[in-house]
Amino acid sequence: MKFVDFQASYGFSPKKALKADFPYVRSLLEKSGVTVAVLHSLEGLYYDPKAGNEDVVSVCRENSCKEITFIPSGTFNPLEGVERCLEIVQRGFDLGIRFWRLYPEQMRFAADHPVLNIVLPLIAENGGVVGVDAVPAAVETIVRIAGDECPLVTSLHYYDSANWCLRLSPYANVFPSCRLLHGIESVDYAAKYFPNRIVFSSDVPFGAISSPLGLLHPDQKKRILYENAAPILRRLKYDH
Amino acid sequence: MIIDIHGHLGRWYFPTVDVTAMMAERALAENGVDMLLVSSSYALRYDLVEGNRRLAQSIRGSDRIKGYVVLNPNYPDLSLKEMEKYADNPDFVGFKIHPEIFHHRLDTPQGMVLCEAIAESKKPLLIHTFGSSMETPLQVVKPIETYPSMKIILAHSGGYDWNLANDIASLSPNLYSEICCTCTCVQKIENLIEGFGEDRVMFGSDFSLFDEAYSLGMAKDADLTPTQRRKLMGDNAAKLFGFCTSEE
Repeated sequence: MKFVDFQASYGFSPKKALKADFPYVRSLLEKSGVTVAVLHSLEGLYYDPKAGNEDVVSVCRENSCKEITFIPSGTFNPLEGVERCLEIVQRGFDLGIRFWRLYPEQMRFAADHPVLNIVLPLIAENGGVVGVDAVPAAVETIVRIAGDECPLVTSLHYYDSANWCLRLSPYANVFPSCRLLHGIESVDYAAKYFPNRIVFSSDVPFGAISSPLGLLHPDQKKRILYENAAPILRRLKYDH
Repeated sequence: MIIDIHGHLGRWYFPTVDVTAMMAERALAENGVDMLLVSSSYALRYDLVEGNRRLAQSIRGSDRIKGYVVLNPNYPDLSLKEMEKYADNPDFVGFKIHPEIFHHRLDTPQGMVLCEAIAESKKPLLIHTFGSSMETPLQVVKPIETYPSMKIILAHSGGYDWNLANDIASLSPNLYSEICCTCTCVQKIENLIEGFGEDRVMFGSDFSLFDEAYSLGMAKDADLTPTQRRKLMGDNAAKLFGFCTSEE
């Protein structure tokens, strides 16, 4: 079965002594039957977005095969300034990066940072997709800046369901992941507000793939693991 | 045999269902879990006496659902009376304290009064632990050193900060670890088994706040030997709480 995971990371884990090297992450993805993984570089998150973006592109190129496709995810840090962010994003598009993950909480920038007003529309115009995990108000700010045409993949926390179901469901380009919808029947609850838009992400190796997978009813699996992701994959130019 | 040692009955402040004992039994059957140990969310969030009473009523005579008596260190005298009230009730197998909800750590003078009574009772205490100073696993150090026979289970094992739980694992053979958390990193289970040893780590889910399937998925993905898995999923809990093990 086709199985798309929008959040897998690799590299070195500086904040906790954990294995996160690519071979280990790949083994976890393969063991769970993931066939498409959007791959994020921890070097890009924690140290240098430019170097991380270049590395993730090579890792994806060298390791994609018949069984599993790795899609590179790039990032940039608004704190580095607009000139460098534009250079990084342009270089990323040249390398084939179309998925761009923002880390407002980890990199400590505000969701309304003015650099985003310049860079996110550029990503949208170039056919990119944005990924971000943040509180719903921050996600709403980012989706407004990115515009209606740019899909946005996010992980919404079950605990804040009463907030995001009203705040984010009006945006047809928001695709929530089931990763943190761990409450009883909360995937069903989210599906009411985001019909045909719930997708899958695991945050492997920091999260177990089988945890969010275990929340899905058999009749939801095909939709959430692949069908709902199809429009995003098409925009990323990966017709799996 | 699968024993889920961390569950609740009652309402939460999220858009979720108000889980009754009957609904919990159905969830256990769906998830292939044999037993569930629960505390009352009413007692944890509001009134311990009424919450414990409601739980006693809900689980009376159940073979599959057993209870923790909730104790609140803000009310040591009331808590001691609750301990006495349910001391001989076979439906209750331990105690539950939530320092973050009660805004009261275990290692305060009032908390230590309860620790003395818990140690005497010989029943385990399940204490919520996470990363903040109010929830830190380190608050059990003083109780363990003062009452070495006290059995303590670190619910969540410090959450994302399970290294703090591991740091104190060697303090006492009566200190146990429970795995559940929003963080489902499989290396958490593997690390805790390294730190506590395979006989002192137990499966829990935080049902009904969490679907049991979430924690079951985490356990499924962990790289464990068959023996480690059997012990994690039920045998360690069976031994600690005096239930039959899968070998019996």
